[in-house]
Amino acid sequence: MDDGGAAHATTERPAADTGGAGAAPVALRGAREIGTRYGLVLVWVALIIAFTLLAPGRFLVAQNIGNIFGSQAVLLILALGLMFPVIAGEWDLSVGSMLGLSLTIVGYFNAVLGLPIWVAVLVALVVGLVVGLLNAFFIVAAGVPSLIATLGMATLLGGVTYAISNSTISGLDPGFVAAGQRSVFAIPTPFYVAIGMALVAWYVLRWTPGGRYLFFVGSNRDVARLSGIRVSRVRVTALVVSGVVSAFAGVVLAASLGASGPTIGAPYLLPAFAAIFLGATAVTPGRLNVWGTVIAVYFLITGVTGMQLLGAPSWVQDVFYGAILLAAVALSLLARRRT
Amino acid sequence: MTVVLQVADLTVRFGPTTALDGVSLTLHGGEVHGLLGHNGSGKSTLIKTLAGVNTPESGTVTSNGAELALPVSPTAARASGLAFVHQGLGLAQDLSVLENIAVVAFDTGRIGQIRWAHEARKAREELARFGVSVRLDTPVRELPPVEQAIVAIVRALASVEGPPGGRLLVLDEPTVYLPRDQVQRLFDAVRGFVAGGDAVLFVSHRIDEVLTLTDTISVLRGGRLVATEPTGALDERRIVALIVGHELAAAAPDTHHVTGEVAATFDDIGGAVLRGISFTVARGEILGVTGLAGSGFDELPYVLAGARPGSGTVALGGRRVDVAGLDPRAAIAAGIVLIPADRARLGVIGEVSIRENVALPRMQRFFRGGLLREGAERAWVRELVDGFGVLHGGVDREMNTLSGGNQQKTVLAKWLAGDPDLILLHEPTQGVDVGGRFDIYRQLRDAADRGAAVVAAGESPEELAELCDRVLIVKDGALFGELRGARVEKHAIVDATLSETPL
Repeated sequence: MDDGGAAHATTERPAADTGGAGAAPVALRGAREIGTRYGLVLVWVALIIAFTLLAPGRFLVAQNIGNIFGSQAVLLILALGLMFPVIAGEWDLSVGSMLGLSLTIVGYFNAVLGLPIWVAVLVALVVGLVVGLLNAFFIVAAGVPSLIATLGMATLLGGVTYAISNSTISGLDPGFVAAGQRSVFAIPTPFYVAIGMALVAWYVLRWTPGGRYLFFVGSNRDVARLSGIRVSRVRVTALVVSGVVSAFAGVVLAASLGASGPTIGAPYLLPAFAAIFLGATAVTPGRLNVWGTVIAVYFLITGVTGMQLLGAPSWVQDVFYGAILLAAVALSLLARRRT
Repeated sequence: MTVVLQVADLTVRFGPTTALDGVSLTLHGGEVHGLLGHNGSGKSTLIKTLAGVNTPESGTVTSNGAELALPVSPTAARASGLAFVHQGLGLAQDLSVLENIAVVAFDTGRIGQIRWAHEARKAREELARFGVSVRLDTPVRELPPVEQAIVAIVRALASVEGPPGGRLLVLDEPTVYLPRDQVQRLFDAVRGFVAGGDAVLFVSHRIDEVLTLTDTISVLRGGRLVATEPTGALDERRIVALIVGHELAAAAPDTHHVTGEVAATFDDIGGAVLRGISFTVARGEILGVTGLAGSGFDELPYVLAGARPGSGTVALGGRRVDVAGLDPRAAIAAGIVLIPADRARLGVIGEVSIRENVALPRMQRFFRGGLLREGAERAWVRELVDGFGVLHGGVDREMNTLSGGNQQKTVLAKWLAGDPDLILLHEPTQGVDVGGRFDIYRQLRDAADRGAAVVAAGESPEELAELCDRVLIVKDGALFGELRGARVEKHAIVDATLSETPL
């Protein structure tokens, strides 16, 4: 993704035409650009070094690394799904609750009702699809602001989750759980699933017209519509993607936990938002992007895991996530204003 | 005459670019001073320097005999009577007239409460001086555009100190959003203001307006002041030559051949205001549509492109298109493209690259083998916009890095690339400088010569006369008349729009 460099290198016009903005020495600008693009990676590396020094022999060990990469693969999947509506200009506050509902559906249908695991998974994914369509109905067809519509949906889904089961369910299909808890190269399988989904999301958002349409619809709906884009269809699709992907994240969580519980899903909402906005400060600054999100998720988890190793109380996690969300959005806005 | 503001030898640089190069300007009390120039000529830089946004490298700014510290601080600007009305007016549309005016400086009572009754009396007096009497609790959005402009002026003046006689009011493109029939009211208000001994700096792209309103005209080109002359000593041709630096060749040949073959037949077109509009347009023809504000003429391009609800049918290239239920996507598929007036809201996304903006309607063309071919896209866009004479520093730069004229050429490139059958435009050169304007006329003529039919809705009689082969006049939503041949001329167009009896 070196578009910028390639374009500057082939620019034929003298710098004077560009109003002076393009006049900084090329090398300096290149360094600054790399700094902006990969600053987050540098901060992440610094964080790893700091924790390694502060918790010698505990932080940078295989088991902990596996834990960092594996434990929060679900968060990465959820964040990837959330990117679609947010890029299209819609909030989806129901993704955490959808994840929780999906988790409980898998547990209830499989362990309580005794249905085959594939049936339970299928039900969860279909519910994700329906919830996405319902969100789309209220937002696109009825015109309810997405913030309100999905806030309502989040609360509603939380209630439905409790109605299905208000306690922890264990005893899920052993093969399913084994698949979710197996490790490959010391990293649990959900990590690979999440990276696979990141590749798919990257392909769709970066290498298909659909990704561009999503972005234009989110940036200026009128311009998109006048350019012949089916704006409503794009918005509906984005909301359905986040519904189904949230449900899928719930399925992956069920496999990796081997159990379900009604309170597990909702707390994933805020870190997912923090990750995508923090990710928007990296790689292609100012735009939500897949690899930025991937880096941001692991940055967040590194921070939380490291602090836990150092014995920080659990409330620190919320403070960290909340502060990162605020800082990430503020930073990207400030960066935008400067250019 | 008293000198209200004197700018001497002002130089502003941004990096290696010299935006203002030793500019000196004297503004006298009782005078309307017009400031003209290309986009990029330094007009905006000069205004922003007076407003304290830009820091000059050298030079002085003297207000009523006292030299101001540079950069000009907002406090100093206020104290020395410098008031600015920027292009968008910057009014809060949902707030009342009074709330808008009293937003900058309140008189407060003993416990810090706003003395609304006192503020209201002041606002009412000021508005009356400009010939506006409205209820102060009216939301600004309900006012006609010219009264909104006057509210913005009153607000700007309310924020400055100093008694009448030494103030400078800077009006930056105040007529862009004004219907033509309201411009005169604004001019009357401006003249009334300078009659009290104050000065006005009037910045505009419209040469005819500057000639009508001002006493003195200054022209900037490439950051230098190329002329300051009494308005009476100048005419349109001379001003255009000063702005572009050379005499312009006639934009379009006087004789050209409209093939006569009907390209599109419009039948019983209706919209929010429009009703029963039927006409045809030939291949190779540029048809103008005009009328007074509110007549509905400006609705036509949007209705025909499916951008706003409408009714009727269009026969185009052997196909019948139903306007009811038409959406932009279907219109594009039928060979109809729309270039809207409001570029910032409907035409482009400023924060997105030129490449992505231009390629948007044609993404499928670059999606091959399951991948978006950005290299091919970039090469295509670059060749296209270069062909339209867009001055850019690389197509991956943001749209915002282009001047208004170059943005409009980019929009033209975006839509003319597919050789559409019907090109619809609304105010084809809004916010475009003179040089760019003629480029755009030529490009539209080229498109017409390649066989397209062009329908351009606009308010400027000069523009219609320059651009069009034939002009339709719309009145009260209905077709009122048609001008062709030698009658496609500025005065005839003005007469026709104002005329009460059908032509």
